[in-house]
Amino acid sequence: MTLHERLRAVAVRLCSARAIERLIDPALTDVELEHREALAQGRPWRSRWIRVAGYFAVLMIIAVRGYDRTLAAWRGHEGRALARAVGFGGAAFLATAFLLISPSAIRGGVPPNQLPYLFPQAIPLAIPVGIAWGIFYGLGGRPVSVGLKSAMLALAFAGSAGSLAATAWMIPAAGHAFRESVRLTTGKEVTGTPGGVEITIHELRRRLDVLTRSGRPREARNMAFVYHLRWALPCAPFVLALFALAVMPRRPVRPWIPAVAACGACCSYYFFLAAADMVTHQTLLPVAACVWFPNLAFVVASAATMTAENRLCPYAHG
Amino acid sequence: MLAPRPRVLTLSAKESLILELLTKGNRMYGLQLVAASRRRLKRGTVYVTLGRMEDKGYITSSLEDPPSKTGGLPRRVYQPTALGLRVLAVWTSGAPVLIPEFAQ
Repeated sequence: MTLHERLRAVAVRLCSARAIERLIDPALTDVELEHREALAQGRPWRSRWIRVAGYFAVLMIIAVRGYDRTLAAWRGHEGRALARAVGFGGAAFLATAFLLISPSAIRGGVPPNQLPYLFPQAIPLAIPVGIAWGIFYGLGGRPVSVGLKSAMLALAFAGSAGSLAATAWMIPAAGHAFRESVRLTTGKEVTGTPGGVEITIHELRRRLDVLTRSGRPREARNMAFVYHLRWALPCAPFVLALFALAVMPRRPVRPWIPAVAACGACCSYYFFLAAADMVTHQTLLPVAACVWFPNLAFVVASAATMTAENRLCPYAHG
Repeated sequence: MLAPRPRVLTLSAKESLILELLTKGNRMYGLQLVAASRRRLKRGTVYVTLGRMEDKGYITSSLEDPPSKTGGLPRRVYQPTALGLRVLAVWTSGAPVLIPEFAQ
């Protein structure tokens, strides 16, 4: 197969028949004919240059055509689906954050100006809920292209990074700022030592090492659970997005079904996490294995669902 | 049901250049246009621009008979349509008024 044929074969895979006829074939023909003309004139170097520049130009055409097609797709149906998913996801994120903050705010009598300090604590829980709701409610009930799935996974990855930033730095910083704010406004020190979530990862690791060395296995396991949770919990948005994309219905369904599915997925994840907490405290199983079990279970379930669906219907996943 | 949006005829700088070249040369192929444009058109984008102009109805293309000397490949050649020529005429007469920089 010549390079000319190879390039055409690549273009056939990526472009429409019309684009091949109107763009790729004319470009390849012009290059080939100019190349032959240069050879006939006894200019071998020029003929080589024509081929190199011409094939590069064909690659450019394929790239520009792909860009145009993607842009057209995002402006139409795909863009609306993504906007719907982001809208539902954003609404679910805010609602969850509000539900998580309000009980402690009301019970603790937190003044409104200090509420922003509580917000970071809601982020690791609200992001996965928002992602799951966005996918089930925004994209559920219709076929989803590979591009849209990739966009949702990219958003979920960004959500995971945001969640990690919240657990690693924002929550400890916000906890410290909250205590300072209360001390300044009321003149009283906030009693009670900072909990595990308010300690930075570095400090958490140091305390864990101290507890392990001092021969206090129960406290060490508790601290190890919090430490591993710092890393495992930020994976929840990505893992739940993967699961939601694997199991969401692709045909029109009753409106309550995506809601139940989203709630079911989130509740199952946090049920597994609660079970992992219990197992960590009541058994001697490795703490890391317990904490990472929910992520692993959801990834395995997603992979199994996708594999089974691909076997039954090879085009189900785009 | 919404009424279909009226089609707005637009002409980019590259499209205008291609129409000018085709008006002078009548029937030209892609690389001929690149050569005639003195590097203002690029090999990588000329075919995409030609495809867009064909979709807009400014130019039309056909496969010319394969040259006997250089092998049996038929070249696609382009020529302006009546619409393309009218749009170019309107553009060249109106642009200097609307965009003063164009006249310089």
